[in-house]
Formats: sequence, C-alpha cells, structure tokens
Amino acid sequence: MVTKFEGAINCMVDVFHKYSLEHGHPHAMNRKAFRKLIETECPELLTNPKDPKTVETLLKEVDSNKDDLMNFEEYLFMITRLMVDAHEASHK
Amino acid sequence: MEACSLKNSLKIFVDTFHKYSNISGNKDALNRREMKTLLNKEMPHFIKNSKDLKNVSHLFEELDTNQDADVDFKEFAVMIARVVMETHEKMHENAPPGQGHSHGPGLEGPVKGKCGQ
Ligand SMILES: [Zn+2]
Repeated sequence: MVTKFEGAINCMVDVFHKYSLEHGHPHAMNRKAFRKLIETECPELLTNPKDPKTVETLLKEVDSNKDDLMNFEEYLFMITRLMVDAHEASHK
Repeated sequence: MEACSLKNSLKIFVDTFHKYSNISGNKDALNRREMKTLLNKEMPHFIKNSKDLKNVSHLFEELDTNQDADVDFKEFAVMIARVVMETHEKMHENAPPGQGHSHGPGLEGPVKGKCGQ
C-alpha cells in the first residue's frame, strides 16, 4: 500500500491521463482536454481577481514548444508552478 | 486512499514539506537530515525503486541549486516533478503488453500476493 504522499504523486500522473486520453492522445492534451482539466481541477486560475486568465493564455504559458498541445513535460512544468503558488498561499 | 485530485495532491505536497521543514533550523526549508527523514517516512516504497531518490546526498546537492545547504520549497517542487516523471516512465515499463496506451504499477512496484502477479 502506497503512502498518502506516494499516492499524491501517482495521482499527478493519473490526472493528466484522465483528460488526455478522453481526447485521443495519451501524452499530449489539446485545447479541449486542457480546458476540461483547468475547469475541473483548478477553476480558480480563471477567476483569480488579481490576475484573471483565459484557457488560451494559460495554455500559451505552458506550451513551450508552441504546438498548441500540452505534453507531459509541459504539464510537469505547470504543476511545479502550481505547487509553488500553493506553498505561497499557505503562508498568507 | 484519498480521492485523486490536483488540488488535494498540491495540499499534500505543501503540508508534508512543512511537517519536516518545521523540525529544526530554517522553518521553511529542509536541511539534509529533514530531507532524509521525509524520504524514508513518506516515500518508503518509492525510494526502493527510484534511481533519483536512492542517493540522498547526491539528490540533495542537485536540488539545492542556490547552494545554501537547504532545500526550499521551490527546489522541493522540482524534485516532485522529477519523481512524477520517473513514476510515469515506470508505469510504462510495467505496463501489460498489448496495444494501446496502458500503465502498470509505478515506483511502488508490483503488488505482491495478488492473483495474477
Ligand atoms: Zn502514460
């Protein structure tokens, strides 16, 4: 049985595939899949009063190879940023 | 097991970091000893199978990019991303043969004593 922490790491892999597989490609998310991911898992990013974003701008921010998809590596970059934000928020 | 969601996992990462960073010294960073305890207590199954996590001293030096002898949260987050990457690779290594995309167990390794394992 994995620990809670290990489970949270496995979950990061599962979350990506949950949305990517639904839209056809296991390791890259198109705009539709990305939208679903954000709206389901982290809608606050779109409604942050200080810095409201759209799905398009969020995807642009993470899509470093500019193919209009978020691949698994780009996803890891995004969750690293979300972790850092969550840590900062925990000190407020 | 807790339900898997992005938010829930983020919270677990932050809370676990603080649980160990609070032990001594800088309350918002992990020293070598705290890091070692965290790995042993929170990732006992993963450290057995992960190349990345095996050598704590080496890992620590690699993560401590600003070389202040402490791993701050940013550096810790980079480690998690690396472990997620390695987990995904393992899931594909352990995937059952066949067509299509599938995952096997990740860094925890196959479950023993289960039918078919
Ligand atoms: Zn996969």
